[in-house]
Order: sequence, then C-alpha cells, then structure tokens
Amino acid sequence: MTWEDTKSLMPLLGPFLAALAILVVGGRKERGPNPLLPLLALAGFGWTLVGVGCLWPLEGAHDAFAGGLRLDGLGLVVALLVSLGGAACTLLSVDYLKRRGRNLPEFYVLVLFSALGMMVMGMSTNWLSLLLGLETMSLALYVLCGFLRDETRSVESSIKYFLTGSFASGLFLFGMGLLYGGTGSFEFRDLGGAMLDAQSQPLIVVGVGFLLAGFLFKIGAAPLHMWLPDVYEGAPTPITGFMATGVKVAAFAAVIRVLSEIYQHEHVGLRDVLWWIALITMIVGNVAALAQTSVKRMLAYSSIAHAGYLTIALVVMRGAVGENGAIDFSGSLAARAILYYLLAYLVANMGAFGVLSYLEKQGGKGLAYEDLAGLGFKHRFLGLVLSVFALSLAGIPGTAGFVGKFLVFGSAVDAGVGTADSSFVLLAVLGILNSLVGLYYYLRVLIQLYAKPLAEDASTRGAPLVGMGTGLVIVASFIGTLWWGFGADFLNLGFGVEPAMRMMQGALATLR
Amino acid sequence: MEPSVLVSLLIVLGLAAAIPVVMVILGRAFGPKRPTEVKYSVYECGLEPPVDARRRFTVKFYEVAVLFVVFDVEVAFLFPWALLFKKSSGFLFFGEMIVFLGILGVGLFYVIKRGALEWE
Amino acid sequence: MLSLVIFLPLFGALFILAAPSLEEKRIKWVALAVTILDFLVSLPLWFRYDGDSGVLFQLGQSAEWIPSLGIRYEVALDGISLLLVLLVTFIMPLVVVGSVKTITRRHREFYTLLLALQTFMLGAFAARDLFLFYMFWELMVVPMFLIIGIWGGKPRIYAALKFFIYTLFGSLPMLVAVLYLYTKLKAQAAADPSIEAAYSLDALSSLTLTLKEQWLCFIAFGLSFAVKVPMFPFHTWLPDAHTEAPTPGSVVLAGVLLKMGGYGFLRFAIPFFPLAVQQAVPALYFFAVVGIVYAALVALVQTDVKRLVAYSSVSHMGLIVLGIFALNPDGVRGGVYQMLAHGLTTGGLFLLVGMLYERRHTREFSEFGGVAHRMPVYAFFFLAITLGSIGMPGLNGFVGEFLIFLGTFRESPVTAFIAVTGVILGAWYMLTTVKKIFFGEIRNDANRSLVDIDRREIAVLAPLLLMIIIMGVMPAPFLNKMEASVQAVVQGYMTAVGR
Repeated sequence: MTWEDTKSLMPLLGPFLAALAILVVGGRKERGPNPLLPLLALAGFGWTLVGVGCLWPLEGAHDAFAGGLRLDGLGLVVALLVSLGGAACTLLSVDYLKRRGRNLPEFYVLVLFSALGMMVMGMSTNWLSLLLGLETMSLALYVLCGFLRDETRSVESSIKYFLTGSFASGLFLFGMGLLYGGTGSFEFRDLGGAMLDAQSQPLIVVGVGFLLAGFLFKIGAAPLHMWLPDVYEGAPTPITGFMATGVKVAAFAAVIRVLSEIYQHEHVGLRDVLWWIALITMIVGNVAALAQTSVKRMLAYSSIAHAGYLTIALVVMRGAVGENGAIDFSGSLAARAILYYLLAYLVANMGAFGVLSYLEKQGGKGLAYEDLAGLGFKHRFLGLVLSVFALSLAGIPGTAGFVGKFLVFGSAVDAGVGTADSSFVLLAVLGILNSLVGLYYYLRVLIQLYAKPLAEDASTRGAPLVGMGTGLVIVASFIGTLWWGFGADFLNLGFGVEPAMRMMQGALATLR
Repeated sequence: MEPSVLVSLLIVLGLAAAIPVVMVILGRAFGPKRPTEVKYSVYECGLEPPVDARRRFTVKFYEVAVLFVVFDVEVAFLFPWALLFKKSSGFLFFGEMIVFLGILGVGLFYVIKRGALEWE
Repeated sequence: MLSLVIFLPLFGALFILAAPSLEEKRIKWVALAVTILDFLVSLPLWFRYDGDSGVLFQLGQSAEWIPSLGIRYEVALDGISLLLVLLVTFIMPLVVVGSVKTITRRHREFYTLLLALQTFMLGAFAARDLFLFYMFWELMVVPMFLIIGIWGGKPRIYAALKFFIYTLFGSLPMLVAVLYLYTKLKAQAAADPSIEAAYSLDALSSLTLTLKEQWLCFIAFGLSFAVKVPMFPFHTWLPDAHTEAPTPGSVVLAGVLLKMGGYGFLRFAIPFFPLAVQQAVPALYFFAVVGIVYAALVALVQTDVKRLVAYSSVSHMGLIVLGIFALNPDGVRGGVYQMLAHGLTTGGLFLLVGMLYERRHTREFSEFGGVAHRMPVYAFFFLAITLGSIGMPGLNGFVGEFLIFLGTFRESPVTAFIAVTGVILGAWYMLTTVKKIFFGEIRNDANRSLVDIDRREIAVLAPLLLMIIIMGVMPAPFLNKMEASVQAVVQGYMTAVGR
C-alpha cells in the first residue's frame, strides 16, 4: 500500500467507517432503537456522495493495491449510484423497522457493508478483489434478507438466497480458477491477450462461461433467475429495493469491465449467448410478472425483465482500444445506456419499494394488487408518485425509464445499422414487444390505484402519516424519475438528462 | 497448460479414486466375517448410551467457537507481516497493521458489548 | 409564444394538482379559465402565420435539450399543424363546459388529466423534433387511459386497457423506426459533413433510405398511425373506448386524438418514405375503402347511439385516409379539411349524445322516440350537426368530402365510387338515428319529463355549430392557410417518386 492507494479508497471509507462507528455506538445489550445509528449510516453514504462530487470529473484513473482496485469514472458512478440506493434504503428502513419492531443497529451495519461490497465490485480490476466485493455484498445481503426472523417468508428468503448464492459463488470461483489456469494472472487485462492463445483458449472459454453464470445469477437473468422472486418477496421491502438496484449496478459495472476485455476480439461467440439470454430473460420476467397477484412479487419478476433489457445493451456493447492499450468505451452508446438505465431503474425502483414499504402491514401483508384499490384518491400524492414510478418502469416517455429504454434499444439499432447482420435490430424489436407485455402489469397498478373503488376497511388502512425518511425517499425518487426523464439543463446547473448522459459517457473513458 | 500434463493429472486422479475403492472391495471379498452379538452393540466397552448423541447444545458453544475461529485466523496475517517488517518502508507499513488490528478491536469491542462472551 | 400555447394547460394542470385548498367546485372554473386563455393566446397564431411567405414552418422556437443524442426542443407550425392546433384550443373550452354535468366526482384529477392531455396533443402537433413528437405522442395515451378507466362506463377497465395496449402496440415499433432513422442519419453524417445527425425533422429530411428500409420503417410508422386513425383492421379498440369513455373523453378522442393518425401520415410517413408509400397506396386504398363501407354497415345495425357515432367516426376517418393517400393537392386538402370538420361534428355529436344520456341514462334507440316534442332546441342542434357530419352542402363536412372525392376520383375512380357508397350509407344511418330519436309519437313515458337543454349546453353547442357553418360557407381562409403546406407535401412526394 502506498499513500496513492489511500486516495482511491476515499469513496469506500464512508460506509466502512460508518459501519465501524455504528458497531461501537450501537453495540450494547439493551436493544432499544437509537436514532443516532441511521444518521451515522446516512453520514457514511453522504461521505461517499461528497467524495464523488469532489473527485468528479476525474482526470485519468488511480490504480490501487497493485491493480486490485481502480478508481476511475466507472468506479465513481458505481459509488454514486450505490450510495444513493443505500441512503434511500437506510431512510426507508427507519420507518419500516420501527413498525416491525426490529430497529436494530446490525441492520444498518449490514446495509453499509453490502454497499461497500458493491462499490468494491464496481472498482475491481482483478478477480480477487472482485470476489472480495461480491462476497462482502452477498454475505451482508443474506443476513439482511432474513432480518425479520420471526417471519417465515423472511427466513425462507434468507436461506434460499444463501444456498443458491453460495452455489453461484462456487461457479464464480471455479470460473476464476480456470481463468487463472488459462491466463496465469488474476488481472482482467490479461484476459484479452490470452484469448488469442490457442492453447489456453478452451480453459478461458469455459472459465468465462462459469464466470458469466455467476454474474447472471446475481443479476437474476434467466435461466438462473429461479431464486429471485421468493427471495425478493420475503426480504424486508427496503432491502428488496436495494437488492434489485444495488446488486445490478455493481454486477453490471463489473461485467462491463470484464466484457470490455473480452470484446476486443470479435470472434468469440459470447454475443450470441448473451443474445439468447437477453431474450429469454425478458420473456420469462415479463410473462411471469403478468400472473402475479402481489405487487412486490410483480416487481421482483419485473426486475428480471429489466435485467433482460440491460443484457441487450451488453450484447451490442462495443468499445475502442486506444493508445497504450487503454480501453475507451465512452463512444459506446450501449455502455452508456446501461449506466443510464441503472440510474433510471434505481430512482424508480427505490421509489416504488418506498411506497410499498409504507403500505406493507405486519407479516408482509397488504401488498396485493387489491390492497391498492382506490388509494390514488385517498392518498393523492402516494397514488401520483406510484403511478409515475410504474410508468417509468414501463418506459413511458417523460420518465427516466423511457430515456433508459430509448438508449438501450437505440444502442441495439445502432449496432445493427451498417452491418448485414439484422439480429441486433431484431433484438431491439423483440425487446420493445416485451415492454409492451410489461406495460400490462404496470398498468394494473394504475388501474387499482384509480379505477377501483376503495376497499371496505379503507378507514383503517395504512399508517396515518408517511414517516419522514420514507417521504424523503419517495419525493426524491419522484423528482429524479421526472428530472432524468425530460429535465433540460437550461440554466447550466448540471441537472437533467444531458449532464447525466455526459457523466455516464465520461465514466467509460478510462476502463483500462 | 500442456495437454500431456492434463493427461497425467487425470491418471493420478483416476488412481487416487481407484485405490481406496479396490481396497474396500478386496476387504469385503476376502476378509473373514464372524459377527457376534458383542460386535454389533453400540460400544465395545462401557455402558449403553442413556440419551441420543445428537442432542441440542446451547448456542453459546457455537458462538464461542465461531468467535475463536474469527479472531484466531486473523493471527495468520500477523506472521508474514512480521517477517516483512524489516524490509518495509516503515511507518505506512506499521500503520496498516495498526488499522487492521483496530478493525479487529472494534469487532471485539462489539462482541463484548453485545454480551456474546457472557455465559449467563 | 407557441411554447406558451403548448405548456399553458400543463401549468394549469399542475396548479390544480398542487393547490389542495382549491375547492372541488372551483376547479372547473380554473380549468375553463385556462382553456379559454389558451385559446385566446393561440388566436394570434392564426394571424401571424403567413401562408404566402414561402416559409413553410413559422412561429418556431427551439432550445438545446439533449445535445449528446442530437435531440432538441423544437416546435414550429405549418399550415396543417396550425389549423389542428387551433382545433385543439377551440374545442377544449367546450369540452370543459361540456363535462360539468358528466363529471360528478374526482374533479381535481379529471381536470388535471384533461389539461395535461391538451398540452400533449398541442405538443405533438407542433413538434419539429422526432424525439419530442414521439414523447408527446405516447404521453397522450396516459391521461386518456385514465380518463376512460376512471370516469368511464361499466366495462371501462377493459376498454381503457384495450385502448392503451392497442395504441402502444402501434407506437412501440415506431420507436425502433425512429431510432433506426436517426442511426442511419448518423452513419450518413459520418460520411458527409454537410449532414447533421439529429432528430430534428429538418436534419432528417436529408436522409436517404433504400426501398427496403423505407418499407420497414413505413410499416412501423404506419402501424402506429393506422391504429390511431383507426384504419380498418386496427379499429376495434375505438368503439369500446368511445362507448365506455365519459363524454368529454369521447369528444377529445374523436375530435383531436384520431387526427393524430392522419397528421402523422402527412407529416412523417409520406415525406420520409415516399417510395414505400407509392407501392403501398393500393393496399391503403383497399383498407380505407373497406373501413369506410364496413364501418358504415356496422353502424347501421347499432342499437346504441354512442356506438353508432363511434362507427361513423371509423367510417369518416377512412375517408380522410383516402384523401391523404390520393396524394394530389385536392385529396390532401380535403383530408386535412375533413380532419377539422370531423373534429367539430363528431365532437359535437358526442356532446349531444352525452346530454341525452345525462337525462335518461340510456343510449338505446328503442328507449327514445318523439324527443323533439320535448326538446326542440336540442333536436335543432342535433339535426344541424348531423347534417354537417353527413356532408350537407353549406356545412363543413361537404367541403372536405367533396375535395376528397375530387382527389380520389382522379387517382382511382373505382375507389372513389365505392367510397361514395359509404357516405350514402352514412346519410342513411345518421338520418335514421335522428328519425328514431326525435320524431314520431312519444311512446316511452320516461321521455315525457325530458327537459330541453339549458343555457350552458347551448353555450357549448352554439360555437361548434357556428364554426361548422363558417367552415361550410367560407372554406377559403382555411384552405389558404394550409395551401402551401399541402403543396409541399404533394410536391415532395411527386419529386421523390419521379412523377
């Protein structure tokens, strides 16, 4: 370690120190809720946000720990998104855990550690630090899923996630082992060169296959999605929101880094494999989401569908190798689309789960479609924001979700134009047809909110007031969803669609 | 990797799997079998067991065991560190271990405060 | 100026939404004030637009929006969109007045949605950037979906969902085509520095496409517009949506939303894909004519007045498509004129049907008869607007239909001949309707207590009728405004196909 390394640690330090502080302050035998703890957690995420703000725009990149971690634009964007998600999760949890009587310090510690793991994943440039990040994130999330330990479904969620997740980690490790055998190195950057070597190629192909399986598992892409609905449904609602968004952010950032190496050589058939995975994932997610009766479970399946849309961009991602072997993906619309889509998904999803966590009753009840009936008129604001979140997830223009989809499908068309291969454009068309299917279940939310009469026991429904934390998250997500949907930067304040787009572009300039 | 190396690796694997299997089969086939009552009893000496061996222990045993493993394994990092200390750049190298031990210390502090080490 | 016209209703909507102390009763007054103000602000557009200046698009405004994707905020009007914008601002105050009785609950939400819808429609007509257009185009569907879904009749949810899914089934392929056009332009811009890669329509006009590309994109765009129009095989959402929608919803739907389809053909499909259009014209004729005749025949057997008007709408919209794809000046002129005329007459008919429904809560023919005895003023308006709808000379429908047939006849006499039967059928079923409802003896006792329309209702219908008559006897000012734009569309097409 050198002093230079500490600089790249700065964004990571926030959640880490906050977690330690909470352990020191909150570690006592009497287990009453302590209002200081969530504040500490927020301070940790705030540190990262401020750190990202200070470091941006980053000139070049800083490698640390002998190439284990890399603080570059992509790392900063991941840190930004994850800490936004983590902060939102923390704010939601305050009210949520209070109502569930489980407001314990360990919760915040685990949220901070899982966020830390996600950031490490997004910054890692070799297999070891990637595994470190992945496991830190996963272990914390396994526990968080089962945090409501008196509820069967929460425990079920935890155990399912743990068992299947460990299996995925095993796949991951095995893939790494094979890649190490093939390349003789733990660095991502040695992957591309070694692929040209005919002798190590079989090992690398199989290794990448296993590795990819591990990644796809984490993002919930079909056919490795089976665990996802049960886990998401049983987990505490704020955690579900955080899992759906944060894990995707971290995993996709890492995948972008790995694929940026692999895609240097066009002869690999990886694109074809991903093509089918994207298609199957979209179909499975959307069709299964149609049949759900619980909104939370619907959102779980729709998260699979969104993973599918994101995979489209992975299929068509294409970058440039610059001088000194530097990899520059800032010209790749697809890579930018992934980051923007993740941002859009983050705000809309945290908002939607925010509303759900407010509506949820003891034992995870109160989340069926019928429970939303007529709510749009009883709680005007809640109805409005939930509609906007649903429309954003469905990809209706004017919302961030549309810009994300626009970019993803645009990148697919972009890749298809000028080549004789029409499969990319076909994928865009199939993706769009899928989002038409998806529209139906998002519209059902709107229909319940507005077109159905209020249920009989409406007077007793829900807590009287939205807690401050939940309210803050919902309002912020609402503004973000619209702002990144059509916001124009007329005053040059750095908000709106265009600055975000530029940020994503800049983030991809220094992948290697 | 050379394919020939892989082949030899495969041969070793095959042998390693085959030898115990063959030995067990040989023992079954040629070993003398004279079962008696005593041979089938639970213990060849002592008393009949009064309760089932698979009882539930208090979780505290596990807690202590896990904590022991956690803090014990960390010591493994101290040895290489100590060996390299002379060649190191000095302060930063020292600081790293202090930070590491500090983190462990926070963990220990938390464990104690939570009362995980109190038996009753 | 133009942006103010577009966004004024949206600000009104936000005001209504964000002012919780506003009483429910007052909301409609706010909405009325906003729509009237918007109409007044939009009136100068008519006078400031100079059809003879040689500049097609005027009164434009533009601003940077998402430069890294080549997207600008760009609005401007040509003769066609000017008239359609004015149609919107003219009809919306009447819709607000007309909804006072119909909308009995959830005023705040209703007027918020209605005003937002107005902004989206105006934006779609004025947009000069394909992205901006697409955004407004899809956004339009959301408030309409909720208006049908919340304030509609019994199977409203089914109708609302059908409406939404159908229209999005049309417009999502268009998104791919939009992306394709831009990407293609970007590729061409890379080779030729004089081309600018952007979504703006001016930039896209320098795009060259092969016939195959034109065909694929035309199918994608055309599907979207055909659903909206709606053209024959894609029309089935319309009767459901109309029947279940509350009166104001039907009026907006028939009056303005359907025109989006015809407008889209004129503005995008024909200029961008002329070669494909040329080849598709016979098929389009076929579907348009089948739509005209089929919908008219179906209208004949309806027992529900509103459904009948809905089917007559399908029939008339087929006529508009026919005129547009005659692709000669007369046909296009007639198509645009008929869009305006149909907006007014069908909007009026839906308002009238709504008034009857408010009084009797049924729309079945069998329930009525002799209504004219009790409601003479109402009967007068109904008859007058019906005559406008069936194309009686001196009223607005005649001008449009006449021009359409003139144009179509020149291209394909047989088609024009078959289409005329649709109009004759139209006269038949509309006049039968009038007869069944208004004349004869009062047989149903419930009709004896009917009250004639009051001043508010007259205030809604009178401006409509006035415009119908003005457009019938003085078509020249309207035709002059659109002349340059119509010529541009036709000339552009002719040049492209080399005729």
